[in-house]
Order: sequence, then structure tokens, then C-alpha cells
Amino acid sequence: MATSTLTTTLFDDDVCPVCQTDRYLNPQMKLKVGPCFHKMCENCIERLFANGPAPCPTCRQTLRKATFSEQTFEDLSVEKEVRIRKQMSSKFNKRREDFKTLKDFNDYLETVEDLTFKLANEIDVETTKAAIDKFAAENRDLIRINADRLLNESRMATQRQEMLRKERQQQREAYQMELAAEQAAKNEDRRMLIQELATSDKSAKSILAARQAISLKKTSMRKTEVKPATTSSSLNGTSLLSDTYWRMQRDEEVDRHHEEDEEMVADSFDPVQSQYMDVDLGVGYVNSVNNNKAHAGGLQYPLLSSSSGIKDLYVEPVGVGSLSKVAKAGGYRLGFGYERAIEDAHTALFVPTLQS
Amino acid sequence: MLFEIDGLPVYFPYDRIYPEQYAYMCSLKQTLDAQGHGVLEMPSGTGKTVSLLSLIVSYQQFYPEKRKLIYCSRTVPEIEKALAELKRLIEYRKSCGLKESILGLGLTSRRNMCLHPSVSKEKKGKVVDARCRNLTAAWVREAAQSGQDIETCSFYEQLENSEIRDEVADAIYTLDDIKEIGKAKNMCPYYMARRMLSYANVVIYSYHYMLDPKIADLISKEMSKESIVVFDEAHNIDNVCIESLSLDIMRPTLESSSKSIAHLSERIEAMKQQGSEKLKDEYEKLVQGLQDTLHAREEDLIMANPALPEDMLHEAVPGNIRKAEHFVAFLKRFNEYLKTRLRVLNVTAETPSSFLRHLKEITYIEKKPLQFCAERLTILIRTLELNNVDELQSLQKVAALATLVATYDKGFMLVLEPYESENATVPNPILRFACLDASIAIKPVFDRFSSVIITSGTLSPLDMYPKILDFKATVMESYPMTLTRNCFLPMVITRGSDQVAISSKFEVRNDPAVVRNFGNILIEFGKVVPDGIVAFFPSYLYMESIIAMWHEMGILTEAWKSKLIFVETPDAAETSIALDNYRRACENGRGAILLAVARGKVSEGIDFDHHYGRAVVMFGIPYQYTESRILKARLEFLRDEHRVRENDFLTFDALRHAAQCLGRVLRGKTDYGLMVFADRRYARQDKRSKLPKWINQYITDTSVNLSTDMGIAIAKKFLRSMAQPLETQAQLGVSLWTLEDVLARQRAQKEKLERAAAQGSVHQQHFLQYGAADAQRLAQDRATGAAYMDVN
Repeated sequence: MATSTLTTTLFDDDVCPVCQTDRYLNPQMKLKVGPCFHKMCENCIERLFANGPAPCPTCRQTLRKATFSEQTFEDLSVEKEVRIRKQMSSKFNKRREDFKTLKDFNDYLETVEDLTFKLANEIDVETTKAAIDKFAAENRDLIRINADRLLNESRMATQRQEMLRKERQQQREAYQMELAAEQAAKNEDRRMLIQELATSDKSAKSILAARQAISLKKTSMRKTEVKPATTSSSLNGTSLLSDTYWRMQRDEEVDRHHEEDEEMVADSFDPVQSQYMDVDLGVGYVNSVNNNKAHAGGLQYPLLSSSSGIKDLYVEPVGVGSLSKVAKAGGYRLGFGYERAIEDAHTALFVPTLQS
Repeated sequence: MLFEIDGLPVYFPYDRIYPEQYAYMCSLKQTLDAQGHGVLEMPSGTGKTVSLLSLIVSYQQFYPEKRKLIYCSRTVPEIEKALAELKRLIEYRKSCGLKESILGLGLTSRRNMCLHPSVSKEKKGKVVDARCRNLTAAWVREAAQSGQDIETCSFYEQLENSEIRDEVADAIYTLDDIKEIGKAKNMCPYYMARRMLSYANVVIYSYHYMLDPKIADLISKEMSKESIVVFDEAHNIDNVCIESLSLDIMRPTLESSSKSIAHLSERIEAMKQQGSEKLKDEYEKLVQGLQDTLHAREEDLIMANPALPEDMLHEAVPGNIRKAEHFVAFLKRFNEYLKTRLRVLNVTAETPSSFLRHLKEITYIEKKPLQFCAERLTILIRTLELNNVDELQSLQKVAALATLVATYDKGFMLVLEPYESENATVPNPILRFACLDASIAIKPVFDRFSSVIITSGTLSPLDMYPKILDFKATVMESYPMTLTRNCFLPMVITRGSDQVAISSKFEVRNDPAVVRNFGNILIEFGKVVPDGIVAFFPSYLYMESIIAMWHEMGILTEAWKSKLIFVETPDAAETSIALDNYRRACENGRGAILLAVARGKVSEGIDFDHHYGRAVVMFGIPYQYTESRILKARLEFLRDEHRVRENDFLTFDALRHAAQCLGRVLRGKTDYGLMVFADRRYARQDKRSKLPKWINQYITDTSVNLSTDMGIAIAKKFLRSMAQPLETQAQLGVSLWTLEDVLARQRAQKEKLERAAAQGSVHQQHFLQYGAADAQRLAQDRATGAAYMDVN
């Protein structure tokens, strides 16, 4: 959905006001609009402005070739207003967050609208322009920040859209595959049935009955299966997220998860009553599940629920030696690892040595 | 008769009751007790409406809460039928010595109810509404009272000056009754009914007053949460929901809304020149966020907001559209943007969010003011005191689009189709804002009312409706039909007498062999069946091509030998003439054939009872046109959101329409008729299983795979046996219960319950309710069905 689609436009009764050519005489005619909002066709522009700047044939304002652009709107006053808005939006980009109350924000919106309206209808142009410049000077920093924010947001929106598209495509493919698999299974069933009918010496009726029972069971199974299959496909979809998207999301999410984790340490983490828990070990995660399996002497290790998002945040496995906390996330809290190590070290002390 | 269901005394205005009516009432009571929603399917022509009304009115009067009944139906004749039924019921209750005051009434549009001498002459509903508004709006009346020479409506004035509650006694009023009272008292019947709605016990009106967010807010806002809402003939309810939130924008719409915008700005200028305070007042109030106070009495609002979330409504209108001239400029920009969109010559489909992004890129219109567009326009129209609101229709449509597109992200789709058909060369662009999710429009209803009941003759498969409307049903039930004689005979004809398979599948539908076989079915049944035959086709296009081919093959001439032939057309007036003549032909002489279209006007709501329809033939399966982009989008949506497979939905939709068509033939137990499914694909289990239980139950294994000649033989035998006189006595106790039968059934059930309790095992609920006798009868029926086969 790009702007380019709008250029395949179609004004039926266009006439170039300069040379009076119309679409009947020149089907390829393109009308363009200059900064003074007067139309003319491309040929005229070429002709009039071949030797640099020249006055507009209608209003005598000095124009250049490069300043002409294609017309988007049928109504030229709207065209003009939108161009003004374009300029305005680069300066007046405050957001709801920048105001204390909704009323202030609405008042601000109204002032902006007022200024735009005046410019568009050419009322007090001088004072309006002055007011705009004043605003721009006063809020320079905020304008820059908000412009950045806007850029970021639009980038993110594009990302999100792309992601959604991919996810949907994947869903569609999964569905197609499911259908194909079903069809294949059906065909296979039919083939088997015919084979059975041809080779077996049971009565045809009993074979058919048996078959029907099986196929009924299968269809009911399929119906119950539908749900998990689709949810897992959507899970795959999230793993498709591109890196940039992650980088944008991660900061805030990491913050949030830390908060959650601290709470969890306080109440839920308590597999073995442990005095070591008093020591502040900080929040961290034991690096690998497999490493710890060796130590798991029949004890069930509490796995952090995936809802806390640790798994989701696991971007890329770094070497075991890496000290980065995130990289160490293996599903276990760091404190638990220490505790285990100490416990393992002590357990052996009380086991009587084997008599050789 | 009077009997009890679980301690609830039920007054039933007839001496006999059908067993399925009794079962239906039991389920209904369960639903109401549980304060949940229900989906109930009951065969057509078995007295659904009367059982509904008698149970709910009994329920309402027996319990102290006095839950209000809101009964929604599809068409005005159906509303009138229900009102007549209700009137009869209340009279019966009175004759039983009950002293109670029940107020029940129906509501329909101004066009049907208006009494004003000149306004009531208008043909179009919108024009009547607008002219009514010109006479009754608050400022018009104010001006008239202050002595200016402005016309007002005397009927409305009279109503304003009197207290309805005292004027009109509690009783049941049909639409005509209300009009009569209005005439007698010189009061406006429409507003009288509107005002009575809030304290009536039973309200009967059209779906739209409940589902269309644009009007539901005005009419149905004051109904209490406890109310019982019933949607009758609800098999199409998902389409009604979708249509109420969908919009089509075309070039003329935009042209006329441009004009309206210009008109608005002129008015604003004029008002400013006069130095009127009104605009300033409006502005002041908007600044203070008081738009609620701007809504004067509900009558003045011709258009309400299409479904803004509740919390939004209380928020202030954004600053950039507070001033009237700003808002008009805003509308102009949006309108121009839509115009540029319509100039694009390739098909585009996009989501609301991508539409909004593009809109912002091009015109710098934010989402927030867009959401308030419809709301703000209403306020502005009021402030400007505009008359002739019907001229602003297109603008209101554009504003509604703005609000909807900014409010909903999921479940909607914008599709731009530059050409009307595939091979058109002159562009006639349509921007369709399509709702894909039927649950959005109906969600407020399910959220608000504790009991919503969806019922119809054809709702199978029942689990589809809770899925696509997204609600949880506490009771889902489909009732078989109890019959003493098989008074209808469904049969599936899969091939012609020449053994060529018949089907309306796209690849073979225009194959001469298939068309000839379809024609032969018509000729042969025309020879055998007395009186009327109705034949349905999947679409107008297909019907036209087939009739043309039949004409060339001489099939029409052959069919003419036994019957006259009438054809349904898309034109409503033409069709009603054809129907009239068809009826006349059925009453005289050898009868007639009516060729109609599934999903057309004839297939919904017109009954072919008794001799008007002795056979219905469904040629092919009425699938939707699957290449439509909106349908594709909807299928995708259903698949992703509600886990409904594409094929399942398409088949479901096709078969509910087929069942609806075929159900036309049977409108009661004394009636009889043939149901012919003429397509090879009906023989398949996956198709048949989606037919309503009561039809499916009578499709025997012997009648699923017939050729035309076999079908004719069975039909002959069936018609011969049906022609025997039917005695009511034979039906008693089986398919017609007297009070004794009901009591006996209740006793038996109680005993069974006790026995079950003693054994400590709970049997299936359904089995208890229905008893084993039905199962036995079913087996018997099948046996008799098989007997027809012996003819061969």
C-alpha cells in the first residue's frame, strides 16, 4: 500500500489551463501542480521552464520546474491544506504524554488547527507564521525527541505488519499442509480398503464396517487435534521475529521481567528449605539444563514457568563462560545452582565409602 | 390447556399439544432458569412461536421478577403473525380467570405507522423519517411555540401533551391496533409505541432494532438486563450482524457528500454572519467535554453512533474538530482522500490499520478525531438545525465509515473493487468496508441480556452458531418431528434415468446431459405431482442459463403440457405478481411450477403450504460465489479466529439455505409434500449430516441414491398414500398430545427419574425427556420408508 498506487489516477475531464489540451487530444497528459496551486500539463512545464525560473502564467509568481509535483487530490484547496499540514506536522508534533491533562492536550490541538486553518485560508498569514516560528523555537528539543519517537514508531509498525503477514502466511501454509496430509491419509485408507477387499477372505460387509469405525474414530481425533496444532504454529510465528523488532522490545521487557522475578524469588522459589537463600545472590540463571541434569539426584528442579518470558528472551546461546546474565538463562535461577553445588559437595560426606 | 413444567404452570391456548412443543418448552425453561443463552432448532410448522410465547409469558407472570420478553423477528408479516398469536394467548389466559395486566406491542418503522396526511404518502422509509424529523425536531417545535409560522405534526403535539401511561390501557396491541388508537386519540402511533416500549411486558420488533448499532442504541437502550431476548427465524442472523456493520462507498456517495459538506460550511458561514450564539454554545460545551448534554431528547437523533466503546463516549471530543469550521475542513479532507482512493484502478484489500496509516501519511488525519467523526457530525447537524436530513445521508455514511474504521481493527477489511464484474471495461469503483466477524454486532446483546435464545427451523449444525457468534450456549437442542404418518418424503436423486450423474458442480453444470436430466426431473414430477411444484436453483445466473437451455431442448414445452411455469426475478414487484398468479394456478386446474432461487425472496419467508407446494425440488447445492474477495477474507477470518474450516463453513451455509428452501413445503402436520434433493453430492454423509435433524431423520438409506425413474415410483406411492383422509383420532397420543398425555408423560418421567435415582445412575438427559417410545417409532418410520421401495 504505497503512495505509488495513487498515481494511477484518472481525472476524466482534465484540461490544461495553459495550452487547453485535454485528455482526448493527449491521453498521456499529466497535470502537475506548482507551489501557487495552479495546474498545468507536463508539456507546458517543459516549455515554460526550459530556461530556468519563470512566472506562472496565471498568477505571475516566479516558479521553477522542480517545484511542480503531481496532484493527489481532486480539490486543490485540500491539496494546499495538506501541504501546509505537512510543514506543520514537522513542528507541531507534541503528544498526549507531553501534557498533564487531556484538556490541555485538546486545547493544544485546537490551537494547531487554528493556525493551520488560517494558513490554508490565508487569514493573517504574517502573524500566524510568526506564531509558528515562535513555537518552533520554544520547543526545539521536544520537537526533535518526538520526531525520533515517531520515526521509531513507524518503523516498529512496519515491522509488526510484516510480522503479522508472515504469521498469517505461515498459518495458511500449515492449514494447507494439514489439508494435504488429510487427503493423503484418506487416499491411503481407500487404497488399503480396496486391497483388503481384494485379498482378505472375510465378508465384504464386515470389512466395510470395521473400516467405517476406524475412519469415524480418526475424524473425531482430528477434530480434537485441531486446536493444539494451530497454537503451536502461532508459537513458531513468534520465533520468526526479526532482530530489530527484538531490540526495540527488549529493554522494557527485560525491566518488567526483572521486577516479576524478584517477586517470584520472594514467595515461590523454595524447593528445599535452604539457609543459603539468605545470601543475596542476585538474579541470574544457570546456563544449561543439561549441565545440571548430571547433578539432579532424583530431585525435581523447579522450572521457571515460561510465562515469565525467560525462554522468549533467549536470543542466542553464547559460550558457557560468558558472564552475561541473559545468556545464562537456562531456566534455573543462579542461586539454585550454587545451592546445588554445595549440596552435592556435602552429600558425599555422609555416604559411607564402599568396601572394596 | 394448563399443565406444569417443573412447578411452573404453563397456559397453552390450544387443547392439544405436539410432543416437540412440550420438549421445546422444557428446554426453554431450563435456559431461562440458568439465565443462559440457548440455541433451539424445531421443525418448521410445528408451532414454535406459540410455544415460545406461552412458556415465556407464563414464566414472566409466575415469577416475581417479571422478566421482560423481547421477541425479534425478521419481517413485518412475521411480526404481525407473532402479535396475533400473542393476542390469542392473552385472551386464553384471561378466559382461564387470570387477573393480570400485560402490555404487549409491536414496533415497526415510521413508514408503516405514520398517520400524518402528507408524510404517510411517501414511499421511501428514509424520506418518511426525514420529513417526520422536520416536523417534530425540538427546535422546530420551539420555533412554532414561539409563534413562528412553521408546520408541526398535530399527532406528535397531541402525544407530547398527554401522559401515555394513563391514556393507554394494558393489553396486547398489534401494529394495526396501535394505529387505530392513534387515529382515535389523534396521537402519533410510532412515538406512542416507542414510549410504551420501556414499560411493556412483551415487545415484538425487527432484528435491526436489536442488532444494528446505529439504531439499537436509540430503541433498545432502556431494556433491562433481566430481559429475555428471542431471535426467531435466526438461521441468517450472522449475515444480519455482518450487514449491519458493513458499508459500501461509491463515487456518487462521495460526490453527494462533497455537496453536503459545502452546504454545511455555507450554513456555518451564514450562522456566523447572523451572529448566532448557537455555534459558540456548542463549542463551549465541547470544550468542557459535555457532549452528553448536547444530545437532547432521543427523538431528534436520526443517526446514532455506530458502536463506539462505552468509555470512549464519555471522553471529550478531540480539540482539532471542536470548532465547526475545523470539523468541516476535516470532513472535506477525509472525503477527498476517499475520492483519490476510488481512482485507483487495481483491486486492493487491506486491514483498517494499514488504511489508517496510509491516511495519516497522505492527509495527516489522526485516529482519534476519526473515531469521533459520526458523533461530531450528529452534534453539528443539531446545532445547525438542519432540516431534510435525508439529503445528508451520504455524508453520514462517510462519517460512519470514518468512525468504524478507526474504532475496529480486527474483524474488518477494506476492499476496493474498481470494476463491477470481471470483464467490465468502464470502471465503477466500490470501496467496501466489510465486517468479517458476525460476533461484533451481536456481542453487546449477549453481554447485556442474561438470556438470549436463538431459534429457527433450520439451525443445523447447532455448534456452528455459538462458534461464529462467539457465545456460550447453556442449552443446545434440536427436535425431531413426531408424525403418525410420514407426511413428507425427502429423497436424493443422484442421476437421471439415463444413469448420468447430476450435479451443479462448476465443471459439469452446463453440460447438456446434466441440464436435460434436471429438465426431465421437472417434467416427470410435473406429471406425477398434483397442484404446485417449487423448484429452486443455486443462483439467478444459473437459473437463466438453464431455462435458456431448456427452452432450446424443448423441455419447457413438455413441462407446459402438465403445468404452468412461473419464474422469480430479482425485481420484487415482478416476483410478487408471479407469486400471485402461481397461487391462482394452484387453486385452479392442474397447478403450476415456480422456478425460484435459493437465498432469494421466495426462499425466505414465503410459505408453500398444502396445495401451494406438494413438491420442492432443489437443483444443485446453493453454494455461495466463492471467488468473492469478501467471502474469501471472511473464510480466512473464520479459520484463524473461530477455527471453522473453510469447507465446513461453505457447506454449512449452502445446506442451511437448501434446508430453508425445502422446509417451505411443510407448514404443519396436516400438510404433506415431497422434498427432492437433485444433486449427486447430497448422497455424501458430510453433506447430509449438516441438514436439520428433523429432515435427516426421514432420509432413509433406500432413498439416498436414486435415479429419476426410481424417484418417480417412490413419489407416486407416497402421494397415493397421502391422499387418504387423515383422522385426528389416529394422531392422538403419538404426534398430538392431550392434557392426559402430557400428565401421563410427566408421571412416567418422574417414575423413571426415581428409578434412575434408586439405581444410582443418571441416564442421558435426552433419553429421559423423550422416552424410548420415540426411538421405537423412528425405527418403524424407517421400515415404512423402506416399504415405498418395494414398488420397484
